[in-house]
Amino acid sequence: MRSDFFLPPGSPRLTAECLAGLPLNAITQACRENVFRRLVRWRGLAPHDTETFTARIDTRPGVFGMRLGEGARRSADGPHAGQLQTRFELHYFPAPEEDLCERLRLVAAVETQRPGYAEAVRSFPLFSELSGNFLVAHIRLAVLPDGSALALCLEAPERKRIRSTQGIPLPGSGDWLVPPGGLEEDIPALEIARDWFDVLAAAITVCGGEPPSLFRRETRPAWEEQQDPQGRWRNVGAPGLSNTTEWLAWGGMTPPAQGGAVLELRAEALKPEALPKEAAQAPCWRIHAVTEEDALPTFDADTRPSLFVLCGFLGSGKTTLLNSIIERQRTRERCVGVIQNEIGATSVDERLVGDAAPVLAMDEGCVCCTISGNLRAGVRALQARANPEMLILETTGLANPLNLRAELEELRELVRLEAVITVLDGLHGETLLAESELGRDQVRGADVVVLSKCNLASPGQRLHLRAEVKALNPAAKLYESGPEPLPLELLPLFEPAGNAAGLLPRIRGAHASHESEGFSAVRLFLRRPISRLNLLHLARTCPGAPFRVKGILSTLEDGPVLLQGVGGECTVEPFAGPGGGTDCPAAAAFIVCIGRHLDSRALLAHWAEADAVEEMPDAQ
Amino acid sequence: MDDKNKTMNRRDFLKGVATGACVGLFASMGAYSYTKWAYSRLPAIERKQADFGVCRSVKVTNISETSWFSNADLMGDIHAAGGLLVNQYTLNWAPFANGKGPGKGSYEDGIKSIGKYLPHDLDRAWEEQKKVALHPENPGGFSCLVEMEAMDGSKHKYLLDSGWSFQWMDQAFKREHIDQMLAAHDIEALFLSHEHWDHFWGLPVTMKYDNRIPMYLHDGFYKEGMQYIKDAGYKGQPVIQKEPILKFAPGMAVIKFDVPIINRVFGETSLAFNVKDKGLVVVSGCNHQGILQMTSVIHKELKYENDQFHGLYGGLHISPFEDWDPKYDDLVIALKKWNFQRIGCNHCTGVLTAKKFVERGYPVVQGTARYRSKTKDYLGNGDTITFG
Repeated sequence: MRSDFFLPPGSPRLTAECLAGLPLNAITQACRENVFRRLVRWRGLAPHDTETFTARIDTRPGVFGMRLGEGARRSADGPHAGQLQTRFELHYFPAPEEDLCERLRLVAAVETQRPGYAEAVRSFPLFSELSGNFLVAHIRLAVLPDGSALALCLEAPERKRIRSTQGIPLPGSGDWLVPPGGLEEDIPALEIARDWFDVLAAAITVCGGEPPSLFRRETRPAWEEQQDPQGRWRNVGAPGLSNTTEWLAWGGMTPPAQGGAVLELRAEALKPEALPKEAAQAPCWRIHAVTEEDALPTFDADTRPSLFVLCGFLGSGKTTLLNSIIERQRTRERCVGVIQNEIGATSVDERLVGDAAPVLAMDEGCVCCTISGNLRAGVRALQARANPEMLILETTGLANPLNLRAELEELRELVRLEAVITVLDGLHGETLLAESELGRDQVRGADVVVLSKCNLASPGQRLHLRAEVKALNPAAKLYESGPEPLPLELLPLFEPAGNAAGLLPRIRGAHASHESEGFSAVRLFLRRPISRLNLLHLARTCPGAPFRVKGILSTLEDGPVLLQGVGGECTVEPFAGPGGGTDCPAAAAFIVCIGRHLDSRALLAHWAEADAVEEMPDAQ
Repeated sequence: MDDKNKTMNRRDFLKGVATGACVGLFASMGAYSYTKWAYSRLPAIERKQADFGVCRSVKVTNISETSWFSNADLMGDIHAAGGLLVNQYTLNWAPFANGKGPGKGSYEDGIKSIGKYLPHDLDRAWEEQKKVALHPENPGGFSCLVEMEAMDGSKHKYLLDSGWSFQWMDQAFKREHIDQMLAAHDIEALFLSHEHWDHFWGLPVTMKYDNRIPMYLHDGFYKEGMQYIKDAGYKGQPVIQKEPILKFAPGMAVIKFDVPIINRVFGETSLAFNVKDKGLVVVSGCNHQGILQMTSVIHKELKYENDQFHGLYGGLHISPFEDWDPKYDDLVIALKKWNFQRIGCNHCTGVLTAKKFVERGYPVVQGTARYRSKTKDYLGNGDTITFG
């Protein structure tokens, strides 16, 4: 068993510190595998300090909290001499809306309904008297001094109970909150704790490089807590219930026994079929064994990358959102593959995305209309080159997601279709939806609609737009973004266990495509730099009123700049990407105008001052 | 609306109690005395506050923070080799490449091709490797010069990390005159924060100028790393830190985190300085364990001026995890808690994060974006920052 997730490779001897940090380290390492996170339905973790943390998985709405219990101690003698042992306390803090809250002891139940509960949970060790009420299990760890073997156990009662012999009256009436002899608390502690224990066991399996070699279950009669008429608490036997201790061991370890009825399975006898049903479903059995040094675990789970489709009208803020998603994944060292296309023949967007992610620009034309079969090839190419966990298809501004459905369906064996996200400009959205069937289809075809630049729109504008979107697509999730382009609500979607409801069912019939609406692109090369003022003026007054004007060119004052215009507003900013910048050779300056019924001759005349031509000048 | 004569629904009762509608009810409930109404703050976790002395000031010169030049190429290579758990020495990057492709490299093959050139003919070694390595123009490296002024006025120079590309690092060393300082034995020690390619594989460049410099690393280095120290030409005995906190000099400590890092690397150290009248300053390579863990450990273990976190230099990872509450998943928010007064960030911090810091008015010391550093929001290559 590999020990280098908790024992420094240069230190042959275990110290108490190694044990305290072991669970956190195991999860840190295992979470680097996308498939692990998907397998255990990982949601996230917030460390409180190096030994204590809270975490969430999708199996339960609440939060698990783990902290060190009794510190590490060394076994004195007997068959387990020299083993370092330690114990952790596992808490479960239910979500306020969970039914479980009503089954907790009153003092805990009340806390779950308080405002401020969620924040307090994050620092639960600071409120140890209160948080003690949420304890569900103990997790023990036993490790050999050289780190070559370890064992993990879950100790929990089948049901954690407090019986109120006197009953709890409801003050101010003759009724009972808890009738005499009734249960004040009754929670399925073992079942709850097992969900977290399974995650830990799976993490250790990934890090250790082998599945458990031993399973042992010990059961003892259980008890419930009762308070006698004098107010003293005592434990009273609860027939029919048991307290369970379940061990999993790696590396041939024999964990200490505590007595009680025993079921033990080792080595060849240890097969999922032989295990009790609840234990057999644990993810650690679905991670295949690894025998060579440096070889990787394989996973009996979905290894397909996730695919998100990003739609949005021209200039809606799609690329800005894309950049922020890429950046966020980059800080987690996760690779994002981007498939892009721009309707103009020169791909401006590829340069904008820069080198943050591998980009395979598709051929000219709109991905939904003219390329069939190439989307698949694009996905395959990205997987071969970089094998990213996440793929984002940034469709051209004029693409209709409803037309894409058929193509996306064919991709299902290659990728997990997570969501279609449509970005709608918070400022211009209402006009767009009113004027363009294509714009409306983009909203209809979305699983998630993001209203961008909401910080620039008035509350009235936002309200109207929200209502319009809801009317077009009541099922889609609707989020707003302001100065921050990435709405927080989107974040859970990017986790493999994600919330994505998946794509909408297919809507029959042909849908508005940009050709039928008269959209086209005109690309002009500008051979002479002009002044910035002039550039802005020309861009704002183009004949045919194009929706969007984009380009990379030089002005007299600035050197290479990026021109971006949407619906009459234009900006110019210095451009330091490929094609611009001080240490890159200048590419031919160009602009792309996209709109309805554009007349290229009129545009050529309009841009004559910059010596505009339609053909690419000869390269020097 | 429940009829008064029926048993009240448990949930409604709870909601009522929690929102204060039935305040005092519990108090009248006889055998049960639930007194904890507010979240009573128990005494904070015990702080050890070990005194490690004080110094007058710390100046950091960024020799290089551009560890590599194309993240796409880097991540592509890693994923082609099998992902974030793959042993870094097999990635087939210079200087340990063997031309066999992603995931098929080995330390032994690499050192066989260049061992004889180390450390006197680094150019030849790197040129040989460029012929067989993946993306040979990608490597850069991380390294900085730390000058501490002690309370008695004496000045001490230390090197943190030695970068990656022999050619890029040698160029950077010459630019900042590190080569001359090393040759004159002006630099008192080399600290290696962790075994990652962009902090450690450029070790021969330091060895070229001073092959006996006192070298401090930690017990997280693997056998390849320990072997490389010898093969790179080191003639001294490295000091291996095992304890979590090493008091190095008055006002200077080395903090070690035992955490697994991507691509089969373990553990990272950072330098902590206690600057008189200012507070605690952290100088880091990457903060792989997360800046929040760093501050949490320092807060618990050490005593520092004004009980104040004063400064930060280096790459800032907030945490290896995404927070389960996305609201908190934000370095900008998290860092506010500690109220740093002077920040120089670069490297793995991320351009957008750095920009956010600046936009939110954090005390970020901006740089000049020279020598291929990407943005002025970074304390870039050739830039300096002084604390105290």
